[in-house]
Amino acid sequence: MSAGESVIAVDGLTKTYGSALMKSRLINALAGVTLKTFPGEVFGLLGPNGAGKTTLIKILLGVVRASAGEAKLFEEPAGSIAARRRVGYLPESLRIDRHHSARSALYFYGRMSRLPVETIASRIDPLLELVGLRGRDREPVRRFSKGMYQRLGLAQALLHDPDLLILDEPTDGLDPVGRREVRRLLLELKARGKSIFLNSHILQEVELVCDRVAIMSNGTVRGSGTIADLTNQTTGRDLIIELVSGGSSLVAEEFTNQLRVCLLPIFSSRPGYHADDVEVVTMPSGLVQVKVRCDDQAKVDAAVDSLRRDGLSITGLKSSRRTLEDVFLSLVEPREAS
Amino acid sequence: MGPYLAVIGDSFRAAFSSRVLWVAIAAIYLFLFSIAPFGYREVMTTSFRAFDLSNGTRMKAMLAQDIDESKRTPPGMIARALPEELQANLRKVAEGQEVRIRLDLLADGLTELLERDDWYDADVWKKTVRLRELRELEEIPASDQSEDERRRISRLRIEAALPGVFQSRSARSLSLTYAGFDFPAVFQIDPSQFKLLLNHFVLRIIIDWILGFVMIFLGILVTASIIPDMLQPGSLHLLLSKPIKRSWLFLAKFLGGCAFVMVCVTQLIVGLWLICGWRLDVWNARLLWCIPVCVFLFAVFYSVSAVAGLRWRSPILSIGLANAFGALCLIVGIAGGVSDGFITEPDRIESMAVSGDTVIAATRGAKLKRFDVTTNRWVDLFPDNRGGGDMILPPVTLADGRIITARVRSGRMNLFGSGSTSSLLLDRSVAWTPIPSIELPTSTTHLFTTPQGELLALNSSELMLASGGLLRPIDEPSASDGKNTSEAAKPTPNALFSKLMKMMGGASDGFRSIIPNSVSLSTPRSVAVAPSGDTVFVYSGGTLSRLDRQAPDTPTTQWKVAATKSLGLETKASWFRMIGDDLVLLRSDSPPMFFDASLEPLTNIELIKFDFGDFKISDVVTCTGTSEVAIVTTDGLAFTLGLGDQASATMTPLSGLSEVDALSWDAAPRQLFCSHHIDQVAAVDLASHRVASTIKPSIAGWRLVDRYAVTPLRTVTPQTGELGDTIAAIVSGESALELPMMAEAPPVRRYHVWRPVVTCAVFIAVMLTIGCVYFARTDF
Repeated sequence: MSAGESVIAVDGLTKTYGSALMKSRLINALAGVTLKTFPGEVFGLLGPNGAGKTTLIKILLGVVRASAGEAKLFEEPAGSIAARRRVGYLPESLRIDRHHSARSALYFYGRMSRLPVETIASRIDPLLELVGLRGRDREPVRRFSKGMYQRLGLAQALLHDPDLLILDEPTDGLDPVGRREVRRLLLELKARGKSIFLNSHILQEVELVCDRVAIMSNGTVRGSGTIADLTNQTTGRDLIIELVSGGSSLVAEEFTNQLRVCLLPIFSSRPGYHADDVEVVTMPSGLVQVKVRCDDQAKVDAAVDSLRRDGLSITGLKSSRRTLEDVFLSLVEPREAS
Repeated sequence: MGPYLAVIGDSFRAAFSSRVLWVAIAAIYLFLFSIAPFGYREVMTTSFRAFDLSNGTRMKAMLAQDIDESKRTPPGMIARALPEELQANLRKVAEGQEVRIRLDLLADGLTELLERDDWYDADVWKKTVRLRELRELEEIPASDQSEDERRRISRLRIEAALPGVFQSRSARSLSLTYAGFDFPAVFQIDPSQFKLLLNHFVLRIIIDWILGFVMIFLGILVTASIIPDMLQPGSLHLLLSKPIKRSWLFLAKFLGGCAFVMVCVTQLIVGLWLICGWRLDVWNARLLWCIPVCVFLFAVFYSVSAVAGLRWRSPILSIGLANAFGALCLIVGIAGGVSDGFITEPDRIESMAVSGDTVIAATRGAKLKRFDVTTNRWVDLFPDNRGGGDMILPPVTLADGRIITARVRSGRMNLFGSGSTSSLLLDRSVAWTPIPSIELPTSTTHLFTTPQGELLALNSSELMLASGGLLRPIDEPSASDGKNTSEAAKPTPNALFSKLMKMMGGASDGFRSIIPNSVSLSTPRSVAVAPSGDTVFVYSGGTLSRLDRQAPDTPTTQWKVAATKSLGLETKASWFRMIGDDLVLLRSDSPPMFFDASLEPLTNIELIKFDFGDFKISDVVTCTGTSEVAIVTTDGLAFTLGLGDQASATMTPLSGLSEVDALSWDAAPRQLFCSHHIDQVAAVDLASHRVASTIKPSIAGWRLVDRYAVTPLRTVTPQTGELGDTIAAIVSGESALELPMMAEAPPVRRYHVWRPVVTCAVFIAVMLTIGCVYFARTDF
């Protein structure tokens, strides 16, 4: 596969559940999703419950059929046997028949992945070692904890050495050490050139391992790109200017008004001036923090010039970048509210 | 196929991890261990059983006739040695009273005689026909005789004293044992009967009930969750993410579900096979075929359970629907059985006679019918609607074109019927209305005619002849003597003796026995009448006899034995027929044996197109005037067997005909009439072997309900109940059950071997197709 080819290519994908005869019960799970992932990339899919993430994954795996649009894996129609041969999948709540041990389950799923028996035999032990189930591999899985199930699920997903891993909440149920192991494993797989499509609620985890993410809500992609792009482009940065006020409360109030008069013309993003655009916080020590959202360096310069012209003394000037959670909430919440 | 085989293999592992399976296996081994001690001991056939007495009425009469102290005859000495209560009843019979004596009491009474020999007198027994076995045993010095030999000798002496009474039984019997101990109840059985009992009944019941009912119900309980479990999101999504086809996955899961039953069934059947082999010396490898049949039966119900599980994802609902479906099959099966028993089978033609353009048929429902061309219907000839238990003797055409038959009241269950049996004459001049005529000997089973217009009546022990002049309506004066038969039937001084003679199956008024004393006629037997009418050929007890009419033929002269030929064949149903001027002896599963008219075997006859490997004969008809006989098999197929110049014999199937039940030969147009498909008739031109004309009667009433409601319902519903027939056929290797009793044509129950298989296979295919389409097209 050349570098330019996509691993997952989804274009205008829609999925409507329910019978066409009963239109009042129709549910639009996906409403025109478009995204692409590329080889060697760890792609995170984020979104609140009901956003359509699971439906998207089901369509990619061929478990459900799209109502419209197109989904391809490795340039093959999603769900085709050719596409599924190259995919390893870890479902969110993995269920393995109780009569299996870890070893027999891996053998079974290896056969389901059309692997020769010899290949399965040669891969089982290293994989068990990798996921930390060595020594427990002959126990019935009914004795396994949730975390051990997840490890086993990861092992079966990796067994046939797939080019694409679709992982649905891979660290769910794992302890912190286990999570760190999984993250390490994902990065290692990435280093080996595997593509990973990660669906997770743990934003910190996504931030740590994903190259790009897509945030879904109400069946649409609200934003996608690298995390840096999302945190910078979408919401800007916070600029904090620290000054020293006069002292008494009366003086402080006048001081706050003075700051607003000075800064609002520069930072207010809407017609007319809104006090909310400039947040002024007075500390007990007399230190005053002015917090504005700004990505434009010219505005920062203008603000400093304006404050200095008014004779105010600037004791500190900081620029803080926003987190993925901030971005997630900012993209999801307004629409959710609407 | 790898992934799908893995699914099936995984189902085996799942089955083995099921506790229910281990409970079932434990129950299976408990059952096998409980029946394993069954065994047998070979003994001489000594004790009498009720069903050894093929002619209880005759026996009663023979004993009663000579019970008087003055009669020093073998039957008299036996009668006087019986228990007092039996003697008292026999004396009442001798006095002319109607006394019912249970056959088992008679059998027990005779068995008691085996313990002593005070009733035996060698001088008195000198006149009896003694078998070679008896003569050989009697040569052993008394001091060297074992207990079994002594009892066997006594039995053979009793059989010799009461000819025509007992069913043929082999000299050796099997006595069942359990853990080496004899059964508390005397239970001796012939080896052939034992095999029949085992293959047709015992194994069938075990397989039907334990596998066909318990195991399938248990299997459904265990496997109902397989498909719903597969549909659990964490399991299904993972499976569907693999590079496999959904429909194949469903089929693999379905086959895997059958693994549970297969594991259990295999152990039970193999266990039964080993027990039958090791303990009973019946190594019947066909029994192993029951494994796939039982799994197949389970698959019918599991297909319902699987599709229900696919649709509703609930094991409980799957179990409920599978059971409801089982109930539906049962109801449809019962409806089909009722329809067969009360609608179609009573109309099924059992025998026919043709006279000119008229076809007269006797049906299983004991109806006598004539085909009316104008209405295209069969018309009942009996005005009353009785007849459930009656038996209609196969009608025969007399030389003058009239047809004669008889209705034996209650004759279906009791060959001797209740009351006397008058023959029935059917004459074109009176619109074929049955008119009572000469009374037939008791227990007459077959009628034959001669070119001289005479009537021969064959019963269990005699072949009797009545002259053509007596074949007239009972109230019509005789042309010869001016007396009517009612006058002739007036009580004579020796009426009591006459009555006892009739009870014994002796000649009734107008009939006289033509069997010489030296010829024993015991069932199974077969009779062929030569075209001249002056010679009769008899096969009985493994011996062929030629009887020639003596001149002058007076009412007192018996026919002369012109030739005999002992074949030493195993006792079983046989058909001895004229084929041209020669004779053929046909037996199921054996090549035909040909003889010339002097009973010399015709050897070096090349058999062309013969396959007697699995050939069950139902009836054989001589095609007079040709060198052919027509054969109908228990499979409902018809053939002709032609003997060409005593050099080769060719068997030719009557193609295009199936479900054939009865044959009748009409010499005038040289056509063979074959009844088939209940009440249809095809007239086959024997020269071309083509159907010349057909009778396809219009149906009405319940027959319409059967054709348009019951039959379609049976067609779309798998006939799981009938798989018992398939199992019985597989185990026995026979397509029909031939009950080992009576004459040359023993009652046959044809197995529906393929019908249940086809209906079940089609049903499974439809259900699996529905399942595959649903599974492939549904979003999960």
